[in-house]
Amino acid sequence: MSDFSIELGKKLGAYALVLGLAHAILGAAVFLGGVEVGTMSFGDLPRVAVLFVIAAVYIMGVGSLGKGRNEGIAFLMAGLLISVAVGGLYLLETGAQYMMYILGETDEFRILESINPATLLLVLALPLLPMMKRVTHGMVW
Amino acid sequence: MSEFSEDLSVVLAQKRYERISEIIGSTVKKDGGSVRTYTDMLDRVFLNKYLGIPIFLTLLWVMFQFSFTVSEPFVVLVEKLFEFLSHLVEQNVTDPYLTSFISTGVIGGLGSVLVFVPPIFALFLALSILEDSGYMARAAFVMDRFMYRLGLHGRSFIPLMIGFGCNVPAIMAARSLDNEKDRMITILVSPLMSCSARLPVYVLIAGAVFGSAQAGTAIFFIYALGIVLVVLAAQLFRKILFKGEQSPFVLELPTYAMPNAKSALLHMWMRGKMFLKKAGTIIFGTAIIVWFLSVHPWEATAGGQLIAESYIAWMGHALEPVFKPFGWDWMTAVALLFGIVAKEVVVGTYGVLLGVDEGTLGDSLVANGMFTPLTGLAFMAFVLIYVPCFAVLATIVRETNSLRWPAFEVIFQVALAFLVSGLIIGVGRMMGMS
Repeated sequence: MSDFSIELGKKLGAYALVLGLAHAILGAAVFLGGVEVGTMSFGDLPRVAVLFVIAAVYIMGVGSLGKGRNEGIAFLMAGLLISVAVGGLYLLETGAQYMMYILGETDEFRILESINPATLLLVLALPLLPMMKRVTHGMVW
Repeated sequence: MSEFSEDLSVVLAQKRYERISEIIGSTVKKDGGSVRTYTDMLDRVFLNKYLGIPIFLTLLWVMFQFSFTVSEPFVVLVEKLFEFLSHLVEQNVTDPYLTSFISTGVIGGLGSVLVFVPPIFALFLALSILEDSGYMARAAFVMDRFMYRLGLHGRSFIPLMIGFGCNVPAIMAARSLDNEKDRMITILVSPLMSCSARLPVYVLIAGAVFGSAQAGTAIFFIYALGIVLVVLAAQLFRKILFKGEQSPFVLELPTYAMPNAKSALLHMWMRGKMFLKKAGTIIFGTAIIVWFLSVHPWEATAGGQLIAESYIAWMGHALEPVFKPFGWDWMTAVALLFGIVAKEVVVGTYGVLLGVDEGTLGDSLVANGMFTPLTGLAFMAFVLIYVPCFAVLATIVRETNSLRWPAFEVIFQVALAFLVSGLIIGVGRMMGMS
């Protein structure tokens, strides 16, 4: 028995799967491939681990979303919240790096190199918000 | 009968909920268990058997990373303020004794601690946001399953999380535990939770030896080490000192809520105020004592210039053999000695002894060969573990109504500090680090 339209659920599930895989691939590229992406490098294990956690949250909800169950929305919502926390942190770090440059503590500030790709993945996830709001219309805290 | 009466309140609560379930079962029609509220939805994920702990660790890491890296520019602003004040004094005050007192004692000692107000307040803000959102209670629930296996009660989690701010209210919060053995274990392990007073030491050393890119991770490691030691100590105490069954964990979970900026800032201020009050009293007083001992005898030290001839150097050299195997010198020995008063004093002591601006204190520690990444990490671990500060010891006396437990705590933590730091140094040297 579904809580909302299965067709919508499948779309959300596909989106969640793409987001989850994107996070996992990025984490694997940095950790296994030794690739340096933005502010992430091989030695920065916590940043890599965080990517895998977000990936797991998104991917674990794909099955329930495909069946139109609210439980799937729960994983999507939680994934988005954690992405906001992590992406927000990285944005603030970029701002802090810029302030350090203004204060003369660093010689240069390159905005493209200082942006963490997880922040871009968060931006990619934002279109989910209106879809989720539609599905959970009338729900209370 | 005595065993039943010990758990009476829990038995009554259980019977009450059983009756509620019976009534609901016969009167409420469910539609297959679908979630009805945002709280139900988020709890499916945050209390998930597999994801609960990884999510908790992720949010914990975000909290510490925020506290350290985002506050860094504000630390620099405070450093520049104290540098300006120090130059102002040196240019306008002619009396060398007064100049030394203000510039080295007050500004050097106290200033080197106050520069850490931004990361400390940032940590308190992050903790307030987590509490106000309702997530902290979920973290306690998630950790209960894990903590139960390791000898700690789930309800201990909240006092232990409070310990990230200050161990004093954490120990007092243990009063919420009904079972006396659970309460005693929580009191005895709480000082191993890394409080905000230790954060200036971590920020200083980690920033100096690991660089700003890796410092946040090094600090996270130390906090994680504290949590691991809490778990191990709790198991040890449960098996040896406080044998017996743990009481069940019953906790009502509040609904989730969007944290309110005003409320979070207020909570941050309430906690931060305690740090500022301590800075203005205990830390300031100790910084003056450290300055006095470092510039006297005045003639022998040439007005504080030859610190190696001072009373404090004599004290440090007397203690140095104890710490030499770890690669720490007499200044570190003195810093650790005065750190017993309050952990922030460790940084204040370095500020007085090295007599450099707050902005260059970390660089000075490395340039003088006082710390390498290995010895710096071992030092951070030592500061985490060794002797609780006077305020914590006084609280333990009050909460246990005994002098025996604080004495036990001192001996246990000093021994553990030497053991853990020794292990770090030993393993590091086996791996070829210096």
